[in-house]
Amino acid sequence: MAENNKFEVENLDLFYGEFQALKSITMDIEANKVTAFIGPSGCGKSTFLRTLNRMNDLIDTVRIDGEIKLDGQDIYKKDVDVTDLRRRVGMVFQKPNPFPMSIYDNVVYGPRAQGIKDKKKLDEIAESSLRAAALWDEVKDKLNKSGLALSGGQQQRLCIARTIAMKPEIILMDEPTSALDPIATLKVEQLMEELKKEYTIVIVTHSMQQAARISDTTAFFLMGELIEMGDTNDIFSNPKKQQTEDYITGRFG
Amino acid sequence: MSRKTKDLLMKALIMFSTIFTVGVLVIIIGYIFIQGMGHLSFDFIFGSAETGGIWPMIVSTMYIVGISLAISVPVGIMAAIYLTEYAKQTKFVSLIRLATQSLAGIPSIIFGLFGLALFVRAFGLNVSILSAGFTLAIMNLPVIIRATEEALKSVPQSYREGSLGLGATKIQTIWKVVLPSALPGILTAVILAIGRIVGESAPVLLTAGVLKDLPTSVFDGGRTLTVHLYLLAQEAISPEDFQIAFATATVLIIIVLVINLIARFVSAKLDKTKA
Amino acid sequence: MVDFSNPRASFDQELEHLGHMLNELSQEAIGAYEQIKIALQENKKDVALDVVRHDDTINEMTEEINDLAILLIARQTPVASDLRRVIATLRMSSHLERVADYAVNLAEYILLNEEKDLGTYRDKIIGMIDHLVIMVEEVMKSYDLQDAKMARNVAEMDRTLDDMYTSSLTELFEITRSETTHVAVLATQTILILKYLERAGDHVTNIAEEVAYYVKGKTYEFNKSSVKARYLKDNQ
Repeated sequence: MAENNKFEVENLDLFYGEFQALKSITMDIEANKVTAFIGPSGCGKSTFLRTLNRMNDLIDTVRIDGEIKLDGQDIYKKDVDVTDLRRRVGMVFQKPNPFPMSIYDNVVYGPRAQGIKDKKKLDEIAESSLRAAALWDEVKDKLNKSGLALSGGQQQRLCIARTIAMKPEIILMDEPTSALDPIATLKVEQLMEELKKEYTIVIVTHSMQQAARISDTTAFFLMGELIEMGDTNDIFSNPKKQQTEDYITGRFG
Repeated sequence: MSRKTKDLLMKALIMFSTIFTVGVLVIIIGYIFIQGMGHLSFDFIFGSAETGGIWPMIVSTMYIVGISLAISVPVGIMAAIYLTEYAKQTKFVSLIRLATQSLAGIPSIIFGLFGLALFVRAFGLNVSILSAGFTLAIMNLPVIIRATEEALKSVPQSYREGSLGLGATKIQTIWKVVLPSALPGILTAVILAIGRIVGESAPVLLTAGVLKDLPTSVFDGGRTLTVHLYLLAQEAISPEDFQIAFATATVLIIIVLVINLIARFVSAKLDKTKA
Repeated sequence: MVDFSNPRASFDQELEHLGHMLNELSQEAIGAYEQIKIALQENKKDVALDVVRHDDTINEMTEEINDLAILLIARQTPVASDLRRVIATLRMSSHLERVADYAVNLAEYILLNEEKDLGTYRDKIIGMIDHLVIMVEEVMKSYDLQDAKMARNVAEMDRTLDDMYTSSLTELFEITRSETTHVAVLATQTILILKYLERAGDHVTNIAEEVAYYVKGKTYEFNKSSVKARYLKDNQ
């Protein structure tokens, strides 16, 4: 069991100044699975996701207690290289955020930042990443066009391609389809199903149906606490906690 | 009064204001052009001061613009980057911000006095193009810092997160994503700064002097177009003297206009956010 | 490469799988009746015993269909024809399970009676089994083809089964009045067995109704209407 865990989180507390946003979170995230975080707005699910690649470091007032281990190594230790961590733990955001540059430059942004300059190698990375994000056929003739010229759904897949180009081990997705129309949403979901063969995916979603459709494991958060985590089948057909039941049945009051 | 009449009246007022503003501008520029065009010639623009030309003044102006931009743009941008991207939002930082804002509002003659005391006297640079360049650089710093800060703040946070999320360092993020996105805004600040430099007379008069010769180095004194215009107008007796002043003004306006157009063109080229 | 032409391809696969499971269940039910036939024809009680033992498997299969249907509803939020398909399949599976249960009753009947006695009513029972098996096969075909008309025909076939039962009834009722207890008991048991087969036919009719519901989106009551029609005809 333990060797199949990518992340092992223990007693994680997170404070924004005086406010405690996460309360003693303990969970394991399995490799090559899709793990979904659900819960009402402000329950801490996004905040928790952002602790996994230390995105919360960007906020001055954040303080963290507890332990997050990635492959057994504490990622909050002093000597951890944050940029290196973020290469291993990629992230796709709520709103598609391609940079104002060409599609090609967007995809190879990460590899370039790592210092890869060889044009041939970059071309290879660009093609394979765009293929993996199921976008290649749609953009192969306009790689030099701005990434902002794509449709919302394509932009989000471009952002996924950009993340894949880093060859991460884990992809964090923060409500990746909340700004997309239903068809584009289903495409991204299909893509996730494909991607989980190679990557560990952790997704925060507002849509319970989405969590139900795509995830293997579901974690339910409420007011900064992890209420229940388990096999998605069980969570959605027979949750153990009353709060989970109330939330997923829409009787949350 | 019915709501309809009120509406109509308001609309008329707005229209009038617009027409008034544009009209005044057109009249001023038109008047200057009409007065000045007659005296414009190749010899006038490229001739030396002895032959009644303004070439030395154009060169002095360009030198001063170049020097002050070379200093104020990089320093201003870097200071703005520090203030927006790095500095924690403490009281000290807001104090710096207040100071720069206040500096932007200080009359230019005070900067001239300061330049005279510091660069001309204390640093021994004498009355020179360099002294004037330094002085105007300092005068423009607050403007550039403020405008750059605004431009940086308008860059979506999602770009920064996206870049950092891809394992880029902070410097890489600023250099490759944030600055390019803020460039159009920064460029606007630079255009405004150029306008101010070209338009200043008092501080330049104090730090660069009135020498009409073509400067051979930045340590020479020099007379800028604006100062030249000021002196011409002051000394003008005959209608012809006024014509020369207007011709100089025409050149000045054309220079500012050309710089503006180039800057706009470059800015449009750089603005990749418009897909 | 991800194929975006059908964004719900994986859901469709699961729906297909659910259909396969139902088909397998129907095969098991048919298999049970085929074994009963063999047990009757060749007097093999161990085959009948097999049918009894195999009932657990059939129950498990029904439960699996149940579980998958619930998961599909919980996770895929099916709507429209997808939803009807899941619901119809779920209900069909429980009818099929009942049909298979009657095979167990038949097996017990075979196990409880003497070989020589069983020969007496063998042909009547086998006749009804043959008809029932055809009905099950036909109704499953109508499900696979999503053919409501075909389903309706299966319901019509149930009348024949009903007639076979009613016609045997008079004859067997006479025998129950027999002086010999043994003969009377056997006849009564046989009446019950034939009744079970007749009931199994009713369940197949219910399955046909589910197929029609899945295809047309409306509730049909093939069974009742035929009984009612007959009642009205008989009481004119």
